Amino acid sequence: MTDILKRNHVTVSGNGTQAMVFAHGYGCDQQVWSDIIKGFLSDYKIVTFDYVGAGLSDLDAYSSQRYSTLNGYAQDVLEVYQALNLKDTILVGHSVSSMIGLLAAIEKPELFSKLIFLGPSPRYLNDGDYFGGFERQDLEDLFTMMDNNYLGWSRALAPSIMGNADRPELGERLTNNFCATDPEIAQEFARVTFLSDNRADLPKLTVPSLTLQCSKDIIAPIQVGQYMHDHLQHNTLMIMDAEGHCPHMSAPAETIRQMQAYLNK
Amino acid sequence: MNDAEHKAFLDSLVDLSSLYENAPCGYFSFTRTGQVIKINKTLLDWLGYEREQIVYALNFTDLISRGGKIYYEMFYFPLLQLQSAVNEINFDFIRKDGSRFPALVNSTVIRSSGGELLAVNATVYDITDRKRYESELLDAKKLADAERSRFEFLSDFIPDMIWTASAEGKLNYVNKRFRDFFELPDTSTDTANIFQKVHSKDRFLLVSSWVKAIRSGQDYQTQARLMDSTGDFQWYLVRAVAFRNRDGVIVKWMGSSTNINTHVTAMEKMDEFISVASHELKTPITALLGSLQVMQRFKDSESGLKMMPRLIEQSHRNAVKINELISDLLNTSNLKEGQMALNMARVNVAELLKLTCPHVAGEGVFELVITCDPELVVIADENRIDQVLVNFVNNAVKYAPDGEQIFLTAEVIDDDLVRIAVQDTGPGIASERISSVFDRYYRVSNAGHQYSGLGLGLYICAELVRKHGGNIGVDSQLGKGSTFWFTLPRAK
Repeated sequence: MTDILKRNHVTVSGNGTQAMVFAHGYGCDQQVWSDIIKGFLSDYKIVTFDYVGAGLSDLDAYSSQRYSTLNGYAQDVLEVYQALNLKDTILVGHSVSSMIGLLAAIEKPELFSKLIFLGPSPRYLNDGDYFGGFERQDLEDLFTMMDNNYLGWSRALAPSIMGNADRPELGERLTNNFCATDPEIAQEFARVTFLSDNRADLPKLTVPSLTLQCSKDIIAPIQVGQYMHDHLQHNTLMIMDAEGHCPHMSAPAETIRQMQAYLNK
Repeated sequence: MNDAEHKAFLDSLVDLSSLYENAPCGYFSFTRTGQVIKINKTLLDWLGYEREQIVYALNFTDLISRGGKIYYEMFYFPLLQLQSAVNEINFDFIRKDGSRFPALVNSTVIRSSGGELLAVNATVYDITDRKRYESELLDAKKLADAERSRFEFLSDFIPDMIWTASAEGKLNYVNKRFRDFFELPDTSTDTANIFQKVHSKDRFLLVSSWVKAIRSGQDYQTQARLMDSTGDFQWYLVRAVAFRNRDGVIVKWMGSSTNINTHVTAMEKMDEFISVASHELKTPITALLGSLQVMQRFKDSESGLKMMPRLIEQSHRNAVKINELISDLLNTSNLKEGQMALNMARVNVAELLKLTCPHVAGEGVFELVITCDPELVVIADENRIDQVLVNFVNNAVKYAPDGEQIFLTAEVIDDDLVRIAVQDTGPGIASERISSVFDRYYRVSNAGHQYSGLGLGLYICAELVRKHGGNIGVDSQLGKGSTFWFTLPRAK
């Protein structure tokens, strides 16, 4: 039987009883939450993990077929829930993880009490009247950039990442420097992320949710946050002062404040 | 001026601002939100902007492609946050006029005492040239790969085995056919496997002439028997020519191995035929000469005159034999060159069968049993078809001397075809030989039996029947006899 906790490099911390599960976005791993979880450690049980293919997950568990849709990643989430026997949780998802969390919560709504979406988008590509922010050409441009930076990527990784099984302290040190996936997996995840369309799933969500929308985010523009809010039941929309797509990293204080405000409401 | 003052003076000569502005790479700094707060002249020139159009006016992301913006948000910025320094990220910068150039960006983070990211300092290298070389390299590689696969395709599907060897004679490439023949694993050109399949009698010549070619630089050519997958040896012509560089030095050998088994076998048969033909002709000529000598010596004596009729009869018989042999040879070469003309006419088959082979019928040793519809008519050259029948019947007499009856049968096998067969009650023909009996120079040779003849008779029959548009064949059972048959177009 697969050890899910190992496969997804699941980390549990915090002093509370209710679980807050943090799902990282595309291109990173659970380290991106380090500033945010500080704000919740004393009140919640904090669960962070890496999707298969990201961070310190088991890369051998990656399957192009399973992860060819966001639903494959939603199964990762639900399997982590099952492994930890989590119920009555708050799921915080950044970027594409908002949609992954949404899919998981549609499948097993009983496990979730609230969802927090950070910079969500149900559809990145423009489509008729729908404004997602991207043209297909932009994505091709991005994929080319990812190809171009393959070498840059591997240089950004510690070259000694290979063969450290007998030196666990090296892996420990790397977790502080390492925020990249295998380039091929990154490419496939990018395609799944940017080409998926979850607009039809929005009305199916019954769990209450918060949309944290940055001002000036080119990945998830404000129109997209509004679209989310308009098509979700029981959704609260908060526009942040923070700019960019990663408020949890660029403006952790404001992000924590907004989340707490919603949770304590 | 003391030492310290002097150094301070020298330091004052270093114009940091000018160095910053005119460095061969771009410098710029931006805040956490991407707002550009300082930029050097080099980067401004590359981008085609005035300073005030950028500083405090534009964001880093305004200067890069759309894909770059996404990349910035999803990878670059999180990476900066986590690592505080990110090197060699390839962004496409957009100039004021909308054109692009690729650049590598190295970035380091300035943080507050609380660890908050305040600003990013970045250097920019224009890599337009490198990109061009890279893409040319990539194109060249693609071209080379395409050429290579085209060559391999050609080389693998050519009917010969193709190989190359180093100047020293070591095999370094073999095509698929070569690999398959010698059952070599994917990349190996191990000669041990190869030598096992060379006939032991040919190995020495193969290697010694190869060594000689390598030493002399002259073309390599030899023949050897190689064992195919069924374990049979087949003759191959093995050749190689030296490929020389501009200085005339041999850099490679290009070789081929061609199956010449059919050719070699035909040559062997031809040699054998010449020896058989010489022998066959020599026998009646020797006998003829003997008769003539006797005639000459005794022509004036009375007892000699008494011998004359017998000697003349002997001479005549041998001359007829020689004539038959030469006719066969002429027939063969005429047939081969397509010079034999047929006089086609309506021929009554029953009549033809009745009149054929008076020499056999007249002798009374064999009975020719004819079964034929008296009305049956074919389109044929009567003389040529008679020649075929004579051949068949003579064979029956020759190979089945103890039989008493030879059956001549003609029947309609479909509306348009008549099948004529000559059946003997002789020993029959072994099945593995049946397919060869109509070949040129083929002679049945049973152990203990030697039959005379050129081995041309049945070959000529087959050619004649084919010229009539018919088929020829033989059905035989060992111990029961053989049926030689042919078909002809039926006349209506």
